[in-house]
Amino acid sequence: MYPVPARIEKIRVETEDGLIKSFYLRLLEEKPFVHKPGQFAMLSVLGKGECPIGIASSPKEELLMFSVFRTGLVTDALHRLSEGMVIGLRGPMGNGYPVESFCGKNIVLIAGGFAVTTLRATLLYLLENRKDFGQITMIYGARSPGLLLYRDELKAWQKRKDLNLYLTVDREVAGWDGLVGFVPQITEKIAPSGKESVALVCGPPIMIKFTLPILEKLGFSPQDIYLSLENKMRCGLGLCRHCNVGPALVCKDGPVFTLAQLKRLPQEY
Amino acid sequence: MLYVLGREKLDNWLAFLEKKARLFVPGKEKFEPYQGNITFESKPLLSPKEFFLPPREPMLSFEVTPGAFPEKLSPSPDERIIFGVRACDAYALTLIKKVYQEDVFFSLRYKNTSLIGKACLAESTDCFCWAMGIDPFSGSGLDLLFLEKDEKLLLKPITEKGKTLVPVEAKEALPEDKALFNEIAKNFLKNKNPSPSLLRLKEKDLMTIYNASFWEKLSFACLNCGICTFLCPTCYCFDVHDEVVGEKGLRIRVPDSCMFLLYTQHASGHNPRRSPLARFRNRFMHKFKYFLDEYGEPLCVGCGRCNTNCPAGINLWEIIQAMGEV
Repeated sequence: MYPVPARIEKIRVETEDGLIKSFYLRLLEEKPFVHKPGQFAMLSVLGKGECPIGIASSPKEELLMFSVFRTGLVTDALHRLSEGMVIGLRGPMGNGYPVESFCGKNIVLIAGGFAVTTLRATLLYLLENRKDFGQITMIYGARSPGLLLYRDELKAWQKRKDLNLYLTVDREVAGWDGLVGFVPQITEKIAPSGKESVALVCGPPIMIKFTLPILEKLGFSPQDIYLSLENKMRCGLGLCRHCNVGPALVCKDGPVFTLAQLKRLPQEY
Repeated sequence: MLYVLGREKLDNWLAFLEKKARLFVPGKEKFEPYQGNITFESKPLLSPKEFFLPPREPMLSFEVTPGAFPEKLSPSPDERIIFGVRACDAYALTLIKKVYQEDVFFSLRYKNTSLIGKACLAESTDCFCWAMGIDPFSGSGLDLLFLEKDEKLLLKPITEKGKTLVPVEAKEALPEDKALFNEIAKNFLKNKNPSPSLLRLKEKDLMTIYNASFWEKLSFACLNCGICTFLCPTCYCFDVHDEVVGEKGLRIRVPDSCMFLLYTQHASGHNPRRSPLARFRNRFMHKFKYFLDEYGEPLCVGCGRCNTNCPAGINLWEIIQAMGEV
């Protein structure tokens, strides 16, 4: 329950509305921090509290990175901090994506809005170990072009031949020459095959609701569709029980669950 | 090993214990520091849970200035003895320990606390440990168990630590004392079996119970006041607060209740258990299905505090029976 000090080395405003900032952190304690894509950590601002945030950096990157949406007490306090300041960190926590089991398979990453963060970590991991995987497809949608995160990296990824990246925005905007439409429709149009494939879906509930039936229609079986849940959390250690989804705890048993697992659990998320 | 001590030597025993560590005895509302007198009439309203998961557990102390880093806090390492604990309340701690064994705060408090249990001789109308599958004479969770019979106290150390709590004046028990102890233990459990509903619950499908229609009727009266979770010796949820006064702050752990709306509310306003029914159901599903499936026993020791103190008259048995009969 004790956080480790971490210094904010860099802050980047990700979206044009300024509500999402990426914090690049360096741990000030000589303890190795080894994480998997899909895991999260508790960030804490003393005097305000702690909150769970997905780790957006890949395990190989030098600095830990968290992209934080300004929405509550702690995230608001985080957004007011500047570079060089010290915050607290506990983690890594949760199970993360079982990336080792994806070897040899095609991988479809589907992201909506700012839920893309842990999928960035996952994509970087996949690209670092590119030869271990089949086709990699990423579908990423936002309401408008200015709300897409990691825009410099997106440009670089679009040029890669070993990655199919589809970016989409909800409505037509001047200056946008990419796809237009909601993520579920784009997924249906691109129609990645569900054979020998896994799908990782992260986004707002409404996007997930309409994307899942399409994936099942494309032949993805429920145990090959991975979702990442978010619930209110206090400890991250399986003690405080705030995050329970029926018998499962998002902090310990999750945050990553397969659709097959979720079908057996109450909808408490 | 069993020891005998005259009832009139009780005060000497307490004086002996008081010299060893801070001594707490049952009061009407809660366990209180020993001040020379003791009663055992009924179990206190609050179980000794609060010695292990206290109302306030400071974890960090800090100054709200940029760059300052917090000081780690931990519970006082002073030894404590809690005297006159009921078997149910002691058993509750063994259930919490299954979840909290790696928690530094709970573990330290558990290590530094000795529990001396007083056996219940007759069943009470408002409690039902045996129905939850608990044998109150097993001494589970206690360091020493004693029973009071005909001006005699029979002392049974359970743990190594318990052996050091036996006063020097206590004599080794004679065979007839041992026979008496065993007979009382046997008589207590005569015709008392674990609840059949509970046994059936182990076999039931989780989602069938969850989706059952009885929840609506049974949760209707519930005010979501949280008194059941507050008094429950097995409820262990907590919240974390940062308290700031001037430049100084503390990060504290405080008990929380799954009965409350804000318990699950996200910062965005989304709430996975918005309805009172969902919160009511979660409490009982946790106690009698989720915990049962994971650890093989329910998260309830049958102390009866929730039944006695519920302002809406909700009875646990109606819920267990409904759950077992879906």
